[in-house]
Amino acid sequence: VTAGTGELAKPGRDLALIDIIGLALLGGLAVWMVASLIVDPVLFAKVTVIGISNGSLYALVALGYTMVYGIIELINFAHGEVFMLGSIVAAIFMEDVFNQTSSNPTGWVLLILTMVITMIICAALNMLIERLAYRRLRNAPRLAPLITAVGVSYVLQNVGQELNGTGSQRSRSSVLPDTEIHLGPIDIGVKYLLVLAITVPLLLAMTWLVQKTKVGKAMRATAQDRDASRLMGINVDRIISYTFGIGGALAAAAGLMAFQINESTRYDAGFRFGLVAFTAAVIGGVGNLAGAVLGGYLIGIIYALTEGAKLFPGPEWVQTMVFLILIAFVTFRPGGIFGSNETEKV
Amino acid sequence: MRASKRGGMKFAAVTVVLATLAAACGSDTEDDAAGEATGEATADATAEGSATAEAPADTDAAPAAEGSLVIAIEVPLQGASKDASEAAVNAANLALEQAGGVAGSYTVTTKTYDNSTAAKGGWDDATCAKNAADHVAATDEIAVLGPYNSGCAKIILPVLNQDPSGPMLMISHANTNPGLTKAWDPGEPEIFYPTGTRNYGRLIATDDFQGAAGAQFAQEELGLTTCLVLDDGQTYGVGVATAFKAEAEAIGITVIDGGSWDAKQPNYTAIFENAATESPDCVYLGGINDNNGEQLIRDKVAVLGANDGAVKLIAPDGFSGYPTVQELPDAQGMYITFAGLPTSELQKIEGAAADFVNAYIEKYGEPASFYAWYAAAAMQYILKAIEASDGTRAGVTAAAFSGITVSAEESVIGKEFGLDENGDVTIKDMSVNIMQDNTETYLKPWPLG
Repeated sequence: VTAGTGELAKPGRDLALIDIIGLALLGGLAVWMVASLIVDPVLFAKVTVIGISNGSLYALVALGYTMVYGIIELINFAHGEVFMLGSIVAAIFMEDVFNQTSSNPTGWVLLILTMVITMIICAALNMLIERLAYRRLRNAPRLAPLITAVGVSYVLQNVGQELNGTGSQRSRSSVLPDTEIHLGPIDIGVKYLLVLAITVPLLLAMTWLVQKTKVGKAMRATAQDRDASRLMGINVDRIISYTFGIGGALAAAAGLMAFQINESTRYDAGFRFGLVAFTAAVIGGVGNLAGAVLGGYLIGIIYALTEGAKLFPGPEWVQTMVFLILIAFVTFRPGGIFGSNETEKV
Repeated sequence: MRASKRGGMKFAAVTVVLATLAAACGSDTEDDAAGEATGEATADATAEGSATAEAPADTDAAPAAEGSLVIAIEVPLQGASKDASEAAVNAANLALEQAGGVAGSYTVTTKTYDNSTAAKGGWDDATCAKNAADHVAATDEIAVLGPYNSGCAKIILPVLNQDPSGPMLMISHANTNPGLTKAWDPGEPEIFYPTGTRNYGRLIATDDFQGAAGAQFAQEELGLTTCLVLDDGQTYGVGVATAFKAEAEAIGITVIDGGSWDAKQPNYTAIFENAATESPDCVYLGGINDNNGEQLIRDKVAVLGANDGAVKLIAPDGFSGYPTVQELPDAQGMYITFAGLPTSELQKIEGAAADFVNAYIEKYGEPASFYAWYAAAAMQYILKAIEASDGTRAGVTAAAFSGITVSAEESVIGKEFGLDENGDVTIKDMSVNIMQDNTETYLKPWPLG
């Protein structure tokens, strides 16, 4: 009705201005990074490797967020706690059950076994949470499952406290080799590379599952239209449950690697980590798998650069940087990096 | 569909920002139950406890009934400080037990308040505020012993100071932030004493001494020249790090200001990689271990090498008395300053000090962390104040600042002590300890001044 009027044209101008501001901010960040690279390229490289390693963990957890949001539009705040429980359960298996506290071939094999066990446990846990806490609220106002998720988060945190001990931090031992690879002046810890070696196949497997399998197709269909999927014979409840299970398994893998890299477990590690991972999912475009992975790596790198690279403001500004980027994305590109690509959405 | 997703996106963004704010505010309202009494409770008075730094509106709190009084003990009983806090409670109760549970003509019992939350894994500002209101409202409470953390003390103190039946006395065994008793940050210490009357004392030396001692030790004993200084962003950590930096610069140590570490970070290797480019030979951690300190120690060693190598690690007493730190392989060789005398030195002082330590070990099976002895000393001082008072809160506070002392013969810290007009202890000791063989071992005393 108002086509051709000034009112309709105005949003168009605003949008262009917003795009310019967004690009300017992005360009500013890029210039900042390039300047830091020029000032101290070796430090920049070392810190970036740390960022990629941490980013791998954020990516795995972000996938869980993005899948659940993509399929039932729930921000599952308890997901970070599943990551935390994954790290503690993995530590219990490695140290108390398998008695592995140093780097050796047996330890590496048992680490893989522990990863499988932990992924199964956390997948089952996440499916249980979905069944007990979220399913009945699926058609409730959006705030109800959100508050429930926060509540579940605190329940899991208390479970973590019971398992991990009352101290917030508990020292653990890693079985990953504590050696470095030297690329010229750059030393890269082998454990960081091992994290990548575990993460990348998991991400590829995830992509294959969603894109190529029948379950994946059902997940995508459910994400597109639940009612239509049900009419097509898809058991929507089961598919949603599978989605939670896969998310829980990926969070468990991230938890195991976090405990191996940091050599500690914390019962209060989940909430903040989950929040950052969710930010990664938002930056990538909530509901988009590739976006979540890219967002995870981006956040990991920004985190590390802010904390350690030259010309960046230092550790006390890490949260500010990350959430400023979140705000910038939400304001200037609310769909995230790949946000408009609906066909890839789970 | 697209519009709906965008709407969802905005909802998600708003939610995550709100959640971030909630996280940033800490778990301020997450665990009120944590503030409930957990110890040898005798008082059943409770307050609704507004979580603000003001006295409750109901100001009819009557003087404590003559004959039976309660001393509140304020400590964090969850998180990394749990062991040290439990030891402090035990030591204070043992000191009371040795005094026969009386002070003058009054029967005295204790009530323990937990000022921590599980979610925070340490002291919590909202819980401290609630506890402060509870102290004022509990009419049989006569004084507060504690708290452990300076930040918590800064919340509780103004509330107790405005107690209409007080001010209510608070004696801390562990607060080292200078601003509680003397000029430090803007407005301090006057902002903690709205009535103008002092009601706070502490029995250990302050961070201006401790931070300076750390810097002097780094240069004079270890010959260090360049120090990376980090703090945990909290009252205590920033204070002691500031004092270290000031003294270090004054005596010629180059300071690399590393800023504040984020307690919720998964690791800190990037911080130390950055510092490594400036070749420090020392790292100073101004803060408390509760704030992910062990991860910081691990990452320091991972990037800059072992503590007995080229880059030494020095920390203040915020890292003292933690069994988990003592048993951490990467903490071995780390130096810790302590604003008092450690167990081994107290045992050498024949008489009340050694007797008390031995009695504690006999009762609890192991020596306490260092601050526990000062909690026992705080109990002794409060009992003296009650004895010299008329049994009211105002009377006990006035007595505490009237020049009373605990004599060397009865002092659990081996020396006669009292409070000066600011509330600082009249004797000040400083020790340097080292982590060796999974034990925090006394290395040497450090002269103050």
